[in-house]
Amino acid sequence: MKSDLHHLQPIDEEKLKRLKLSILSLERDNLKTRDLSNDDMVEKIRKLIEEEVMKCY
Amino acid sequence: MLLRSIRLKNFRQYKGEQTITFSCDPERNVTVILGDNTSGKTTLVQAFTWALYGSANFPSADLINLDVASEMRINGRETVEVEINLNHDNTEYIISRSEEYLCTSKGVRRNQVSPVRVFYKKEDGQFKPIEGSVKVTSTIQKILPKELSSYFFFDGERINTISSKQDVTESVKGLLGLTVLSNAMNHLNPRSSKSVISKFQRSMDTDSKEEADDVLKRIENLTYRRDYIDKELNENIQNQISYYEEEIKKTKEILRENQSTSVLQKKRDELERNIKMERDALENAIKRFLDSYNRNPVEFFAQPMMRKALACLDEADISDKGIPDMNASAIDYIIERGKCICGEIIKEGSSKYEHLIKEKDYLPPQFIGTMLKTFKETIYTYQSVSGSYYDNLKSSYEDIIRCKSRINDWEDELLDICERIKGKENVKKHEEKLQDYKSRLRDFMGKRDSLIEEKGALAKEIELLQIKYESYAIASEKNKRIKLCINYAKAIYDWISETYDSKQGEIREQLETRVNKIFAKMYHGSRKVQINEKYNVTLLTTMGEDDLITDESRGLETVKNFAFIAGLVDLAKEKIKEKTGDLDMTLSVEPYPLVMDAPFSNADEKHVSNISRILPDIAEQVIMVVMEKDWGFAESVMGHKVGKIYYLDKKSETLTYVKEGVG
Repeated sequence: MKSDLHHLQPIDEEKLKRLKLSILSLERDNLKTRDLSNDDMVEKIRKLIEEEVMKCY
Repeated sequence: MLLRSIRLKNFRQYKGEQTITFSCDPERNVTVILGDNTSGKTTLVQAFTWALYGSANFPSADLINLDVASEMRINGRETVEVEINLNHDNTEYIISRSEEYLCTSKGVRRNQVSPVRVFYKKEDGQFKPIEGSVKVTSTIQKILPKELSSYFFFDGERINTISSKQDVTESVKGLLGLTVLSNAMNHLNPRSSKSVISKFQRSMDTDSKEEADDVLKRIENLTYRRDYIDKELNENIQNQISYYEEEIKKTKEILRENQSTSVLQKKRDELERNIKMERDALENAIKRFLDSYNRNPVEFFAQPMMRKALACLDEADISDKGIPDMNASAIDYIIERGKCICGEIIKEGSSKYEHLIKEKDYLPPQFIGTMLKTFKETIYTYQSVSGSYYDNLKSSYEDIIRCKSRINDWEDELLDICERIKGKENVKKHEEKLQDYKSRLRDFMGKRDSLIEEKGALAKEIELLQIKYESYAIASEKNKRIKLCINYAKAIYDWISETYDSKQGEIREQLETRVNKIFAKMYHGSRKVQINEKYNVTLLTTMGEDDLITDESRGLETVKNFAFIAGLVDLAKEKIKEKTGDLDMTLSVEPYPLVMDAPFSNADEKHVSNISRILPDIAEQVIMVVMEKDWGFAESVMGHKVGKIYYLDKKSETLTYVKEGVG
């Protein structure tokens, strides 16, 4: 089982950069608008990561 | 944000509709509103916070102009309204808040409070309302968050507390953009059960579903406990520790200031204890004296007579031939009885009879020599007893005198000390408080240490369980994808955590440098500013190689706080650029105006002039509501920056008109 861990794709630095930027932009906007609750933000960030990671998976 | 105008309708002393238009010219960005005391300066500044957030600090809850209220008839209605027109993020907004008042037989009462309304200007030049209270509130928050507003709308009194407030940290972090990072950290935090990472973990499928569920449940429970400990440590324990540390510091300061009083109060307590003990000793000495006096007084006071008797008896024939304490009558009785006390029969003419007759010669009344001898021996006994009687009396008496003397001395000293410490702080009370605070601090520190220990153990256990859980889950392809998402999320979380830690220190240093630079321009002396991790500001004076904290006058405090706010505004304006690889993004907020009520009330002429020279260069827009006498000092350096000037023309206590002057 443990060996499966080593077969995970490595982190793509470009994707990581894009994700950092998207998450901070989202946080910055929500800090001003307070449109989204904490749970909403968690779900939105989760989706952001999932979508970015799944591109060309 | 730039304020374009404010319109007041029947708001407090502003009767009818009155409008002030603010200067938005970048070269002449100062608007000055001049007014005397009680002309409505503070009301004007509070009108901003009322319109934006519905909060104002007036003695009466009713905001309607009293002249208008008194002119109303039964069933008549009037409106109080404040409308602000501003530009924010390249959009023009109108924010309006109103209340309706109704006149009834019981008087004028607030009838209806309308929700705040926000309009924005569309490209065609028309204003469109923003619908829905949540969106309206969030738009205002977007324009200027309420928690940051006190930095931009403030009065001369509040500025003196702004850099020493306890809750300044979160506001400053918000102003300087750090809140974005801390919110992102909270949303990703792998240690929180509601975070992105935890959500990913829960979405994994597991081969051994039941077993994996148990592990996950255990992880959740442990995480819950760890979150609770975190919260307890950060919100409760740490606050308590900070509170008691602060109280200990303050109490020590009081004790230092009253050190001489403390010594005197201790001396007073010691004297009171000594006097009480000495009074007990005096009581014992008096008792001993009385006991000694009552024990053998006759033996002592009969001494002169005894000495005389002894002198008389010097010549007397004193013999011990006779039987002590026996007299001739006893012999006569024995003879008459015919039987001696030893049992011998006594017959007249017998040798024993003769012997007894002869014995009578040595007994009283014929012979008193034996009695005298006994008497003398008694006197000698009395003399020896009376010697110790006197010594005992003397010793007790001396004790009494000594005790009384000490009590007198100590009472004099006590009286003197009481006079000297009259009206001074009760230092003992503070010493007791200090001990209490120290003991409470120790308790909280102990609690903190044990919670930290427990937290560490929990973290280790959670980590082991997570590895176990992942080993159940990693097998499936879906889980691999989720695991990859978790790896990205963790990488982002680690990066944000590191950035936050380094930014926090970096920003404080930048702020300190900026505030010092501004302070040096404002203050005509040689002090410097220090900003601690809670963003509280302290002034230091350099003495030789040491920086010392010295007393601050209200004037100096005003200058310090102006420098702090100016430094914050200046730094926030610059925007913090965050590098996310090749991409940059800004974390900071919009530039803001400074709206100030009587800002210079505690500053002297020189400082007013220095502050006035700097503020228009730092803030995007300056709006000052100020007394004419203070403006006189500022005008010479700020006059060329003034784009608009107004006068508050106070007609009565309930009526003020705003009049535009020549800027």
